[in-house]
Amino acid sequence: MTRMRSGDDAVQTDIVRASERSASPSCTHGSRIAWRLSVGTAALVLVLLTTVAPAPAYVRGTIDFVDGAPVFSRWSTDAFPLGFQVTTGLTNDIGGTADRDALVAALGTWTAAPDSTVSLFLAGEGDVEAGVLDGVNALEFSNAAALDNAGFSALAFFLSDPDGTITEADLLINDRRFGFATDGGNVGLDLETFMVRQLGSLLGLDSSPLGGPDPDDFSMLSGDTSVMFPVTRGIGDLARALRQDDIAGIAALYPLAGSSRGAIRGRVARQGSPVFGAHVVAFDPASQVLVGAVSLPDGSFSLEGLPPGRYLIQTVPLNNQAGPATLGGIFALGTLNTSFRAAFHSDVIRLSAGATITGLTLEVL
Amino acid sequence: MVSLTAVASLTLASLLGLGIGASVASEASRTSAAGLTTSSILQGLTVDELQSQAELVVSARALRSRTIVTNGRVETETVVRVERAFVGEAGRTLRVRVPGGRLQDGRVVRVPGAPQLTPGEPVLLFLSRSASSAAWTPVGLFQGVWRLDPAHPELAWASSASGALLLPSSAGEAAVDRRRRSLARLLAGGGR
Repeated sequence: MTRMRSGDDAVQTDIVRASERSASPSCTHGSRIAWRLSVGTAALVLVLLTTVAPAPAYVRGTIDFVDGAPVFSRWSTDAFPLGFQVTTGLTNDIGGTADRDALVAALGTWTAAPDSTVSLFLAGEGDVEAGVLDGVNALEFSNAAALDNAGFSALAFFLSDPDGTITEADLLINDRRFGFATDGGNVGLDLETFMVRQLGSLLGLDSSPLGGPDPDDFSMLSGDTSVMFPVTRGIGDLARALRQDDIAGIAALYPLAGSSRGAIRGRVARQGSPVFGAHVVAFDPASQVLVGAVSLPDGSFSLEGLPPGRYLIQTVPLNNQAGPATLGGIFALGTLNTSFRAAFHSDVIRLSAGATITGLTLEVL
Repeated sequence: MVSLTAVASLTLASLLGLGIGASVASEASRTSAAGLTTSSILQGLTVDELQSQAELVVSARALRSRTIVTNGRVETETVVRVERAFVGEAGRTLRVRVPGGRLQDGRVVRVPGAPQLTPGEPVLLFLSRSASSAAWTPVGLFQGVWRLDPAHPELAWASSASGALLLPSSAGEAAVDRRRRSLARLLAGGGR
């Protein structure tokens, strides 16, 4: 097990580099090569993270605890191709077929995600009802007057087996509360962007917690973001496109056989005790790939779906605006630890194609 | 869960140079260019709105729950024992329904934003009549269920949003924007 210290003294403590020992899949990160990172180097890395790093961190959706372990939410591999039926005519905000085209484009965005078996399609238009167990994955746009005072703009319904396997997912969209458009978000809420985000959720991805205006979280200050972040932070194709973090998330949930993506796993601890709800972010400065995860109640984390590369590791507490506030499942049931300091773990980890590195322990202060 | 506030949205917008926050604050009743997107999106309610929309405000403890399926729609009905009615008149027990629940075969219907009532736990409930039955339903889903702690009888804690996102209220700060509120002020309104 590799132990790395973090906090203000991180740049002056012994650190561990796994690069020379991580060539084979499923190897244990056991090498301990002590070296010192100069303050200048650390500062450069900080600047890199501040100026160029996007800030997303995908989180797998969870539905419950069973015997203390989280139950993750996902479709079975044989669910694909997965069809969604939509209300005839979709939204009243958009005439013609532009809204239908936007939905089809959103379905296609996830289908085109590399290294994933996801395949989505529009199964038809009709009088669909969200929230009804009927075997139909319904995207219902409703203009019922009763929804004026319903207090919601959208409600999602997930039917899952006890093991977390999703067997039906519906979305009720209160069309009286939205101002949809297809202009990329310049004026109205871009329907395609909205649907990309919602489909990600229906596929089993929780909200991305990073992106809030927390000055302590130096990875957040970029203008880029995951489509799974709750607030759309861009316009046009920029907002509609999956980011590396989204791609990693969906590739981790529904991996394509033979993919070169790998994983880094470990545990976040504070004075030996597990830290629940810590962001663990892996960033490859060369490729600009940034992928994150949130630690579970036992402090464990798993950064999955990572392309091969050399990764820097960061731990960040969730912030109040965009962290615990937007996570569901087990993260909404427990009390997340947000009282530790954001820290850059001064390690560089080389992840080879298809490798899984395990046993990291990230200590925070 | 603490909601994403208008302030946060404004800050995000200004961070990105997007000029979208103003539309969030001024047109909170319609979700537009702000692009708030998550699976369930609820309208944030101020303390005043919680009160004005509630026909009944009670402190209570959940006794037992069951899952009800009506025409394919799954709800959880919880019988609560009323300890005190602050607004409206209530009997000794009430039936409170929320969307979603666990079916007999173990399958689960999950609705982000729906509150959970844990048997034995003391809660403060802002309730309105359920549209589909004689039961009651929490105003604003999770926003209408506040946890009480006997060790701190003067305080109430907001429920978790369970993965839903709140739109900022044009009327002011949403009640649940603060995880903890004075019970007296929560009942008195004013959003303080």
